[in-house]
Amino acid sequence: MKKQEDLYWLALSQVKYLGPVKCFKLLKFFGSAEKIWSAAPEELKASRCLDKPALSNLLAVRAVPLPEEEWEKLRNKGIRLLTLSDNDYPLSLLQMPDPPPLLYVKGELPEAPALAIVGSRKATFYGLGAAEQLAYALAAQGITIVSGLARGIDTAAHKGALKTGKTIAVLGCGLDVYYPPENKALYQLISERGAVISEFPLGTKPDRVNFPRCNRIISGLSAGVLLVEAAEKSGSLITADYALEQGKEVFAVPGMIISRQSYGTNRLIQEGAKLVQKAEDILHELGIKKSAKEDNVSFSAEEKLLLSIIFEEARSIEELTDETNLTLPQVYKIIADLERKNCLVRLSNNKYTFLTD
Amino acid sequence: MLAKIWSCCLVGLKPFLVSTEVDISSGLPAFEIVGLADKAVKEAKERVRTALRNSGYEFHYQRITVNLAPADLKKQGTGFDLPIALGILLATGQISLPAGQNFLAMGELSLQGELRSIAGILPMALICQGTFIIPWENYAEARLVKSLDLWPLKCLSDIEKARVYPVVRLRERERKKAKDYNEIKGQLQAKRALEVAAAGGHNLLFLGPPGCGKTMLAERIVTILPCLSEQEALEVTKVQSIAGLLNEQGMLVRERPFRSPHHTCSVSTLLGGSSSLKPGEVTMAHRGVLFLDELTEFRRDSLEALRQVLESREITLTRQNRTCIYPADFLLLASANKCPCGRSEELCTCTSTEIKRYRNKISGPLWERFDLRLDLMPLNSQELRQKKVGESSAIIRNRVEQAALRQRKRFRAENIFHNAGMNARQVEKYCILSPEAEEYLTEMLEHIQLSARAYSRILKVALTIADLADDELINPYHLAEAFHYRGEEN
Repeated sequence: MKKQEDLYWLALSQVKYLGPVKCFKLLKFFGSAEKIWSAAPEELKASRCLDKPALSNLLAVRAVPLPEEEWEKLRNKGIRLLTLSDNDYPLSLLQMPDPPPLLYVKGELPEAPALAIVGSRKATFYGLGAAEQLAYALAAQGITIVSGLARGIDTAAHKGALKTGKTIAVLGCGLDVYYPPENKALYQLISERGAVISEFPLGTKPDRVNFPRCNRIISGLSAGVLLVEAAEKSGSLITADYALEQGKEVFAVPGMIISRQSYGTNRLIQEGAKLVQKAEDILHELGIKKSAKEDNVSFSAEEKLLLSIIFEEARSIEELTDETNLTLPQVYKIIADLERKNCLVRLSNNKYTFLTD
Repeated sequence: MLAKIWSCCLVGLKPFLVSTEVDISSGLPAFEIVGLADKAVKEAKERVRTALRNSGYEFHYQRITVNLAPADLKKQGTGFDLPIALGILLATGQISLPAGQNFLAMGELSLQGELRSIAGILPMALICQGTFIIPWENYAEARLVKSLDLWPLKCLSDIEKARVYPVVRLRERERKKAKDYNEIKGQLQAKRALEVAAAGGHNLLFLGPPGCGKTMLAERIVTILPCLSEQEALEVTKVQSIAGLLNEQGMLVRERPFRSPHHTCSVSTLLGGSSSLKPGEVTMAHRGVLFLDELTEFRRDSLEALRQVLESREITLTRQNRTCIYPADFLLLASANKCPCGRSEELCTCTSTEIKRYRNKISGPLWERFDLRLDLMPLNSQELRQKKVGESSAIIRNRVEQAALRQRKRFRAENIFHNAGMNARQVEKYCILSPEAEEYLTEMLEHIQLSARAYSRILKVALTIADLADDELINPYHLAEAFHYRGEEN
């Protein structure tokens, strides 16, 4: 049953001029893909969901056999189809005017409140640190982190989330295309401990027009969107626009006013996005209580000493060595320990700053 | 009349004996040199003829044939002037040399009959059995080979006089204006990384914008490298001898070489070659340091070729039908910007593709050769003004020497000298972690994903750090520091 319906959706997705909006309207009218498929041309015309080119294309596609082969291929690759007819199709996506008719899914879509973390592909150490740290803290609270598996902020967000919780990667290409190539290992990890999804058929190459479309899913799946770093004309700002359109919260991490990479986020804050300093800022806004189970991190005396200095102002390793009478190897060790405890982040000027909730 | 005297020809660093045969027969006056002689050797004719006459000898207008044997070895350079002139004098009976002795002669003649120094005397002296007749100015250098019978000449006619030896003043080699690490403010991390590099023979890459003092830091590394052993000193002196870099004080070179070729240099400047098979920068840096500033600006083919040299620690040059092998065992120091514009991240205007393309100029395998990678930053105004003096090179060198000694002991039975040279099996065998370090490593690996290569690199570096601290086992501090130097993956 499920297979048959999947096949109809697969076939429908091959129809030209039949986008998500028309598909959604058709489904509302007919009730299932099977009915759309078997409807008489007059009925389709009467539904007033299709224009001429879409109708003639649909009729042409109906003449060829159903794409059984494609379906087998998906099954062999361990890719599941999630269609508008499925009961477990994410409700949050249905609230959009143009939900993707079918999603290719690798892994299990987590059922939890989700938050999107997106940002610049060319991030600074500060941005990467902030994204990883916030994703880490939010995922620990049971929030699924949604992002786009791109370089920079996206990668950091996925990595942070994987350490404590679940994450979803929404791709702008087919699920069998690894892009960016260096994230192949991360792709595997996410598909094991979360889900990698895409609305594009297998073999679709990463194309610049795909990414805005995938941004709408990223924002659609989430209760809010957090921008960590975005330059003046950044693709992540599109995600923020979608979030506003869809009535979602928009959060932004502030940056230095001289930093190009923070121009977009600072501007968003100016325009009313919520400024985020720590994970609680987001939890509070989404109405999620911080869970009591706090992993109590304890610090050694030396770590406390270092933290107290860094707390005043970001310091370089040289400055820390100078001010503490510790030797360089000792400072290296303490810094490594604090980084492991997710308390420190390295800025792009090689200085370390405090990051924790 | 026929006369014979030995001369010598270098292929790479390897000397070959050449027999210089001179025959004078009646016939139309002619002067022929045969035996694959290059231009400079052919020109010897004119110098020899004039020098002989100006030294008061007779130049016979007869048929003079000079044969340089073996005839299939290409002879080059001006050093054949002296053996040819002596051969002619012997053949015409104008002089005589003691019988029953081998004579090897090398030197360039001036038109006046004076002898000029030539390059590469030291390796030639090493194969000489018998008496070595050399230019006065090369005496000190040849003297480095002990118990060799030398006959230094100021001018050609000295061959008939009693032997006189120049007085070699054994004053300390003129020290170059002493450089020291205590002259450099701040940059503690960089200095420490250089110390680790020097101690364990690890290649080091500095990443950072221009103006961090990368060159200043790098060129001082020779002040903390362990002393050259007798054997190493001879190798370095030999290389400098054939490159003509040796000054005449007649001391073994005691300072490790530091070479910093410009990034516009050609492949043959870097690796050696050209038609005369000259040694390249990699050979001149043998037992020392090769510093490549702006690594990404070097020609891609140079860098790729460099990779192979780093692996084999020698370089084989082949031109036409000649092949020679030069040693090339050096420490590679390099610096590069993080992106094409070189500005800090906040101000950077490069796109991610531009940065990727820029980084890709250093191929993955070459990137892997750098055990240590460190981000550098220029000093801020406070650091520039601080008065605090850092450790002097001498103190650092003591630690390095001590660590080098430990490594020599450790690798007595192995074919390597440095921790950096360990293979996977040796890493397993020698990098022993204390129990706390084992625990620490497990925790770190949960936090940071490492490739197998990166993992063994970290252990090697940690071992060097332990050696510097004179510790038997690797402890968590050593590991943490080694992790710090791992840098980003390319």
